[in-house]
Amino acid sequence: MNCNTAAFGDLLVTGVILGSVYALIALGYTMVYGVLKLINFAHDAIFMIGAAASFYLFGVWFDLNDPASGLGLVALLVLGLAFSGLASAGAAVALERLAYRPLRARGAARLSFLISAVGASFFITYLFQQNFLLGTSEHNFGGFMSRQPLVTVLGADLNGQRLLLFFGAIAMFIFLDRFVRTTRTGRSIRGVSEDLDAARMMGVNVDRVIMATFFIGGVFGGMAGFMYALVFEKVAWNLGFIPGLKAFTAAVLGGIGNIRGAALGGLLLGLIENLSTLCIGAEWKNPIAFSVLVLVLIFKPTGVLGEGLAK
Amino acid sequence: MSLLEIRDLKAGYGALPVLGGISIDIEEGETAVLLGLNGAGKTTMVLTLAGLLKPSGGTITLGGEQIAGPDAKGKMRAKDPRDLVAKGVVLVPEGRRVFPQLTVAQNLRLGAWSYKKDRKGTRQVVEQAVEYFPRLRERWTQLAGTLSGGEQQMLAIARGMMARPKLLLIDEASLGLSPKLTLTVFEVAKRINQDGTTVFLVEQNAGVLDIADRVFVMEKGTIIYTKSRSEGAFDVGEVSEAYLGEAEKV
Repeated sequence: MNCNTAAFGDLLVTGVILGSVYALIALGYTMVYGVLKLINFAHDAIFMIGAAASFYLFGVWFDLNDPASGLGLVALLVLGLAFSGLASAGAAVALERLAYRPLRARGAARLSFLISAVGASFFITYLFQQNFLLGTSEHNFGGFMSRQPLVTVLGADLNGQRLLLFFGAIAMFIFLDRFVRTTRTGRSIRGVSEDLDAARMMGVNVDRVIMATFFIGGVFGGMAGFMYALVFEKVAWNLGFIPGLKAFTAAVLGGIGNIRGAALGGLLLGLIENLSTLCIGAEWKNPIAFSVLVLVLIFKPTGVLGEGLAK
Repeated sequence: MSLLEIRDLKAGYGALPVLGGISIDIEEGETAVLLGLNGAGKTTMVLTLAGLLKPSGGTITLGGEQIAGPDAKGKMRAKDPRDLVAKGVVLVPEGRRVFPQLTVAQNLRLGAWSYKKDRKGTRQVVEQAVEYFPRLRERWTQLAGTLSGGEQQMLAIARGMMARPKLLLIDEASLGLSPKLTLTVFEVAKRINQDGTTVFLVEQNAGVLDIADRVFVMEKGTIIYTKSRSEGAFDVGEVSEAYLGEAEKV
């Protein structure tokens, strides 16, 4: 085996950046699983909607192509994060309302939810493949932000896009961790995820708590979609598919239902799949990532940090 | 007018009927007790009263207001738990059901959800609820899952009291507790009652008769025995005969 140690710094940095994306998407899987014990397989489409929304905002409506700088750039980024986050959150709440709540009201079996989730995922994804939306081609994205490297870490050049993704993810996770631990809404989310019926007995409006978790997961997924599109300079109808599956793997790796687990699982998976290419060909990235899923399910099904939102 | 009037109440799970037409009254300010063996339908009864299970027939009236029953078109309607908690019907469920990964304090605060914006009120009620079980104060920041079974039961009752109930339903509080702890729990239930809350205990343990003002015995989804303390003291032998009789014959 021939190991290419020169690429170590580059792969490490790329692993962390991709890991941040997985972590942000994994959070949506994990929070919904926490309260509903459901893997929301349509979450990959929610992530894609965030990227699509920012493409419409900057690429179609504003049609920005020249790099902005200073306060103007900051304003654009804040606007992009807010818009993509809200678009995805709105879609996630609508998804819950249309695809899951009617099943809940009828007391449907677990399998029905899963089928509904997969169906919703395909519906949204292929809706965006239609020509009146994104169509089948890839779109260039993010001309409003310069790609010049700003700093060099371990020999890897980091531009603003990558830095935004990394520090944005850290800030979002710290905020959410505090939110869930210290606020009343956070307490109700933890209560519902621990024991939904007991929370109902306390008079908690469970439907609203469920809506809140879809909203939060949607905001994170949407913002991740925007930042992902910035880093990779592309938006396409199917861009959610692989990151979605990887993020699901990350959520299981860290401990599904566990917020800190989502962050840890995302980073770990990003690092594992990228550092593995040091010695193994890059074409093995995906098989290795999904082998991680299988190995976790066999040896530590509750993940590294264990299950449970309340933790 | 009784606080709670139940008329011909029928409920069950899907095609499986459990309650076959229950009619009982619970007066304001009393401690009522429902005794019965496993599978008699006791839990089904309190779940229906708390709005967690929709009845298939009959009516439930709380303080003169119908909380479950047929509407004008004859379709069964029942208020959901959120409305009922706001109206003062609170269930302390079987098996305690505390939130294991939340602290004692957080469990109690979730109990105050129905008036969550009233911080001052919440603090006052916390003080009152903890007065019944001083032990909880020592466990204040401990995760509920690390408490002993007895402490969890105390927490579950205190959490129920956080909702400022008019009618407190307690399902099998004595289950899995030592005789001494069972006594403590019954004594606190009586104190809660004396402080003004109507208490409805569902039990298998006939020791609960000591604190009862009214007793019902349930078997196979129907009430087979009713007696009020005003009709004379309870005879444990007589009541036990009513609900154990069937079992002993087998």
